[in-house]
Amino acid sequence: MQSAQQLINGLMLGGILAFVAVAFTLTIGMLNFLNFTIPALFMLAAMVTWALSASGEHIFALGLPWYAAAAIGIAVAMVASLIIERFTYRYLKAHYGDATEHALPLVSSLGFLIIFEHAVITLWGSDPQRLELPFRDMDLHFAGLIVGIPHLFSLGLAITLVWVLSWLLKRSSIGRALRAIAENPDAATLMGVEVARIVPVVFLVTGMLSALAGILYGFSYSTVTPYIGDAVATDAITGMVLGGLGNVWGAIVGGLLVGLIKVFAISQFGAEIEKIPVWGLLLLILIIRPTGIFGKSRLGRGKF
Amino acid sequence: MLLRIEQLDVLYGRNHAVKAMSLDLDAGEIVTVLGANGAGKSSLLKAIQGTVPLARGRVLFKGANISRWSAARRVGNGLVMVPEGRQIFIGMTVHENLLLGAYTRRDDTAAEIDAIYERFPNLAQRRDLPASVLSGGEQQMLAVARALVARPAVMMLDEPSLGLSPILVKQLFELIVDLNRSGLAILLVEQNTNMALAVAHRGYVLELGRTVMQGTPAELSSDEQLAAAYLGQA
Repeated sequence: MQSAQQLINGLMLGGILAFVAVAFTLTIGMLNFLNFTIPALFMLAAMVTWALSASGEHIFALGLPWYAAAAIGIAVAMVASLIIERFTYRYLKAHYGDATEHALPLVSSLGFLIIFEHAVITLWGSDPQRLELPFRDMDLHFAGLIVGIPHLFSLGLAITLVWVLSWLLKRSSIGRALRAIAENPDAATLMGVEVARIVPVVFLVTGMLSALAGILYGFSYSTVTPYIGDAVATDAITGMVLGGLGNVWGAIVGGLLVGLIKVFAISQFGAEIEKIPVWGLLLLILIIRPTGIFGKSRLGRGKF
Repeated sequence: MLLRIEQLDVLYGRNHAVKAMSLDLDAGEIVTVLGANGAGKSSLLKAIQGTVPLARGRVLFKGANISRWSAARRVGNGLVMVPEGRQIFIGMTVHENLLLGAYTRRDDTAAEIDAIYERFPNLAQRRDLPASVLSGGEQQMLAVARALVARPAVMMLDEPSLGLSPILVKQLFELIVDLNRSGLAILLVEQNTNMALAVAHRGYVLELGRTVMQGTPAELSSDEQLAAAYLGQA
């Protein structure tokens, strides 16, 4: 019974990691860009949702209903993601040629991560804050097991969104244009694809996914801090690598696996060493199968 | 004049790839640009397409100055390129490649794509297979077919015969003539000088970025220096 509960807990945590892993894998697969601002957007959306919905003395304490606060949190993260696109990916590409081949956008995205974290700390301090939904009982009970509703909702939403995303990538004109950019940006231009106008779409989608994940994380664990992005980033990156870079369904499976490994490791060996199995697994995968479980032969490009 | 290039310069850093190039392409014409490796032929096409910037000069298309248009906008207006090395999307199916060719089209292209399949039965058979399974000749056909779906007024081809067997080269040039007869203006960059002059109405010869000669195929082939340098005839 105990391990059944842990299986559920692992899958629930994994559902949120899967969201973030999908955001990572989209920018890697499309743009060959490891975007470290994803955890910052995750945290930003959760903190904005808390600040707007809570009442108190802090800035922007508007006491908005949770859904309005969450909608604004998502919008803020999407706008921030567009700003990031403008000043990491696009600026560096325009000034230094194919910057995706270099570490420049990665390093500048790390810079954004730290700036966002500290901007949030300056605004609202670094204390953990309570973020709760107004419903009374947030858990489903059956056969002695407990399933959190926000957890369940985030897992379902992650799978639905990835299903919609992969359908759009396969069937729609903009999806084909995105895959063309992922495979060969120069040839995509020759098809009449305005690459500079399509790339921000990737950032809007990753901003939305990261924000949804952050808010669902906050509601699931009832707590947000300016540091939740850091914690989730490494787990989600491990999930992405497990599933194969650029593979959206792989990212879902990878995220779920990492969630399970974390929960079982903590229950078996205690919370102190939870990072070791996750990072150990990441290193092991990189050594024995760097394309991940579902990745194809080439790393990082054109996997849809 | 359908396409007019005026005093065009292309610079890559200090490398002056194209110098004061002027060129005309009229409706219904095949014009070829000849020259050795590094003469600036590909740079010229890329500058016309808008994928490399102009240092000086103008590109006029259907009477409009398109020098500042994005490459994608030029495609949407009917200036379409079949790039060197085909550049087809090998991770996508044959059909998806054709749909990408129709990317700028807002009208229904299904009937045109069907007509393409009728013209290229090999592509029709492999419609839903990844383009990576195509042979070199089929890939070149797909690259041309994909450009056709964009409904071009001018098609630019960069070294289309590269890497093809003599039989396939012959088929390709028959296709080029055929397309031209149905009204398509063609700007052809080729190293296969004999084949290019056999189909072209006029030609330009580039040397180190500069036009050293222009004229009809007969005029160009009768020039002894040119024949020695580019036509493989001593």
